[in-house]
Amino acid sequence: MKIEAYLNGIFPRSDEALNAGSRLLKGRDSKENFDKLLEKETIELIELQQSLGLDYVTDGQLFWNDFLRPVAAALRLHAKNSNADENPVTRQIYTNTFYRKPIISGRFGDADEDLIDTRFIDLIGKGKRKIILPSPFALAYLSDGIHRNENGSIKDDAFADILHDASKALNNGARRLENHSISFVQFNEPCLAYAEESVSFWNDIVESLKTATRNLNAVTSLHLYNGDASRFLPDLEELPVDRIGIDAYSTNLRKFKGAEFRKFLEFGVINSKNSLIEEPEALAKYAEQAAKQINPDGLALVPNRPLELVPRQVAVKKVESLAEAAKLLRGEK
Amino acid sequence: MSLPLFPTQEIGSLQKPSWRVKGTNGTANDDDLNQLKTWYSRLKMNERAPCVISLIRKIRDEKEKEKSLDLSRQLKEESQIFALRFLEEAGLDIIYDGEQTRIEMYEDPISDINGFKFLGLVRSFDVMKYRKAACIARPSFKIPYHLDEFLFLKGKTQKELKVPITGAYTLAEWSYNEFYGNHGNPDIFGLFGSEKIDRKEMAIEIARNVIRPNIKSLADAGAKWVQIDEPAATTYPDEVELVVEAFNESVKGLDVKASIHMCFSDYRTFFPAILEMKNCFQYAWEFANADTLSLGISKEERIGYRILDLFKEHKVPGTIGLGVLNVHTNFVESPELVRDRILYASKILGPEKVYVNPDCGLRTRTLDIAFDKLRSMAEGAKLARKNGA
Repeated sequence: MKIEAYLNGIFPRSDEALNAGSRLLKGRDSKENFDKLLEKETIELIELQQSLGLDYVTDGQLFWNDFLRPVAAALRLHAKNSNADENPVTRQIYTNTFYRKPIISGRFGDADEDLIDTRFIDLIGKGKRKIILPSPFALAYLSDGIHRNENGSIKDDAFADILHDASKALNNGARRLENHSISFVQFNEPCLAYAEESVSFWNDIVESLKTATRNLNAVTSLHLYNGDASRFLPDLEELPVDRIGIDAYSTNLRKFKGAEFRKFLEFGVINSKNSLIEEPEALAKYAEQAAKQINPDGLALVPNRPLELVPRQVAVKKVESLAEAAKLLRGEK
Repeated sequence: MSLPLFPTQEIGSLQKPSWRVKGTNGTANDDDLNQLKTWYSRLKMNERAPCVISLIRKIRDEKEKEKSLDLSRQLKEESQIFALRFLEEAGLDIIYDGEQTRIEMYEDPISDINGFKFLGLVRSFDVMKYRKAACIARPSFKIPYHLDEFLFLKGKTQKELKVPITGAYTLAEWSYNEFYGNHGNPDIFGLFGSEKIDRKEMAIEIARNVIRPNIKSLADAGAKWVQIDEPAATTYPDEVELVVEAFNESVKGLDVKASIHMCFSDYRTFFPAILEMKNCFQYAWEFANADTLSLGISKEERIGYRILDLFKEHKVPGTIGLGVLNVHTNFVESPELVRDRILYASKILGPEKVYVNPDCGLRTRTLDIAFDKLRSMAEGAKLARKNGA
């Protein structure tokens, strides 16, 4: 079985960069200095992934203020007389992180600009480039606006429309980004696994992913975290992406026994909510157990969710462990 | 202590003035001292300014570490007085000290609880960050960490004091777990659900062994009202029962008015579990963050307050701490906007149920902005009393 390892979300900033951010907020440091630090740390992260031999290389999204912001800003998903940096601060559940909730005031189309800043993607010389975008469902579900009722519940028809708009805009954005030699487009899915409405919108979700991945040459994946992906069995496999990611800590793997799963599995086994560094041997053993249970076409070792939840020095050790485990599984050690 | 209709209250932190931050480490400059003079004049504290400036200079010149630490402690106490006057002058009815002696709501208590080790900084959003620790041994009581702060403040104001304390669930959820559970588990199937079991054990032990003794020490010293801060309360929608259990465990058997503050959450997940909270006097929630800036008391204008319908529908006992100030923008809400937010809540819940506060602590705003916002809040409450009483 093919074994890979790579990162899948926002990587932490260092203590130095976080302190510079605080000083910037209080007007005691310059934006220029802050940006320089983030650039330096982005380059260091790219070099780390390259030196560890990860199969795909990301820029770590260090400039992203939250996991939706650049995309929401490019798509102009904010209230009138406002901008994406002023949308309501909202908890990303399962974490102590927050995002600015996009506000959708009407049907929307494509972005006029790139969905994300490509400066650092272009710096990835050696290795296959990977980008991470929110899934259409995440973008629609985690937004407020015309697709929600007064009490916050979903308006069925309007939600389906917004999901469609999101999938089209993400597809156009991703195809445009492919000009930057992108080999892998991951759609991040932090809410599908816990959202009560996922099942009733399943067909729309499948359609939205078909649209979002249409005519993409890159490998595509949907990484589900924050909840139990086994609730979608046996239909999980029909999601129209090349790879599906699950969170080993919140997914009931026992339910995969006997389920058909003929896709490449992204196995989220590095715990980004704990500081303990996983032993490569233990990770390899977990992966073998998961492979036996799920019988996927291939397996990639990944963090269960973005590593931004641990301090940078802890995250670096976790990535090293991840790479080591992949080598063990491939028999390279 | 009698309170007016729609009492106004602070919710937690205020930014520490630069003369306090730099003054305690001996680096305050002329700009910092000028700011001090300006604020002391604005708060009608002119007579104290020369002594404080002299204290700051002494810290700068002191070579002996012990003496320097003692002088720094005096300066921190001075900033407690400053914050009291700041909130009084803004016109609030229920106040505290803006958490002037605390580092931050997680790091500060964790430093004074046995069983934790700090690992480094993590980001919560934008450039906001906090220092995270791992639980490496069973958490236990070390010292009554808010007692000195309260004892210092007691008797220094005619206003009612409300002491904020970070709740057990938040301390557990924001910490890494290196102690509870079986981390050497060689079975992949053992990972599923294990984090929840471990978190429950940690949260309840912190509530019983750390938070309750801390609240007891405050109550024994004369504190009448303790606000338990649980910003992590709705992190996991299926764990709100644990938040409730941790709250009940924290205040069990104590003779004190207890309330809870939660922010930036999907409050819908908290129903109906909220009904199991024992003797919770108040639920202080954030609303303004998601509201419109239009005047009026219709549902469309007050979209940020739609959760109040559920509060009413479930007949939640206790009062609401109504967030009327967005703490993440420099926009200063007008008294009229504050008034309409109050009147809308009053229309839904009845006036006696409504207390008025910022969405959360104002530490991310400058003192100038925070003061203008709080003053506007107090003015808005006055207008609401005239219009809605």
